[in-house]
Amino acid sequence: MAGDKTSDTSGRPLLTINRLIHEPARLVIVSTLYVVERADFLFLMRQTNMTQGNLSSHMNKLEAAGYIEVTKGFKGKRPHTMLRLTDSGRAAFDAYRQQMQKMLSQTH
Amino acid sequence: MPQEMNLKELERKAWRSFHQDGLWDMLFGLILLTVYGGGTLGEPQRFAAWALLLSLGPLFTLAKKRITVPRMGFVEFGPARRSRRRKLTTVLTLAVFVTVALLLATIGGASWISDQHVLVSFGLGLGVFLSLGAMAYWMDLDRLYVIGFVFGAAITATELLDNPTPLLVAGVLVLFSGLVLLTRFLRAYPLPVEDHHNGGR
Repeated sequence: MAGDKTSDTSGRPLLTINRLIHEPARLVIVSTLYVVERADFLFLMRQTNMTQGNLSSHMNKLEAAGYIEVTKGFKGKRPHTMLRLTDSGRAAFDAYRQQMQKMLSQTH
Repeated sequence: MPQEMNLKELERKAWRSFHQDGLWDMLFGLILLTVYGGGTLGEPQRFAAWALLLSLGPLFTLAKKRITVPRMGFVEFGPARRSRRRKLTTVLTLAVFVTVALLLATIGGASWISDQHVLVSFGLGLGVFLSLGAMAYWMDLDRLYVIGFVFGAAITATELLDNPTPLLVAGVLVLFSGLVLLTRFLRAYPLPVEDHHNGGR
């Protein structure tokens, strides 16, 4: 589930980083959804420059973790997929940002 | 804080990418041309020009829906954008009231308008520039500052010269820049294949 965290992380803050979000492609997806209310699949494809398969695969992982909510519907006769960051996804991203900032400030 | 700045930048980039289609330029170019047409054409064509001016708003909305959304995808921006839109609506409503008041004063033969012709001409141009400047500021679209300047200068020049040619020139320029942007947009974002709308699932 969320985070892929290791159990023994004392003294190794990098290991506590939420790897599900830390992966660059997913980080782009989550941060894009963080700054908008909701967006459809095509909009995310345009913003992230990912291929359909790539985006779809990352979308599935984030949905399985409960970070994004995927709503399937129809626009006219065409199927249409809307994505939204869930409260838990928003909280996880906030935590990730704080942790990264703390770590990076410690390196200075 | 740099992170906050980057997220703001990301949101701004997403917002602006939705407005790089040239439709705003085309809208204001067509407004300038219809105002020119309304002031120069004969009776039946003049009526058509004013009718076109009134239909430009709905046409713009339709074009966004039919051209931009199918290519860029659909997005709903956050509460900050809605708040900016409310502020802009207030300012533009005020601008419309001032314009209508000036129009009524002109029709009513207010002497100060003809007495202070130069001042009123610059005031009108400045008013148009400030209205479009407010749009540019609250909508985060820098291009509207330039369009506002061209629009305002055309209004002032038309009033000072008592000749509508500046409206025609400005309208053609702004419309042309919109057409160039639209062509680029259509090339950069072709209609996606069917599956892209549903995530291929």
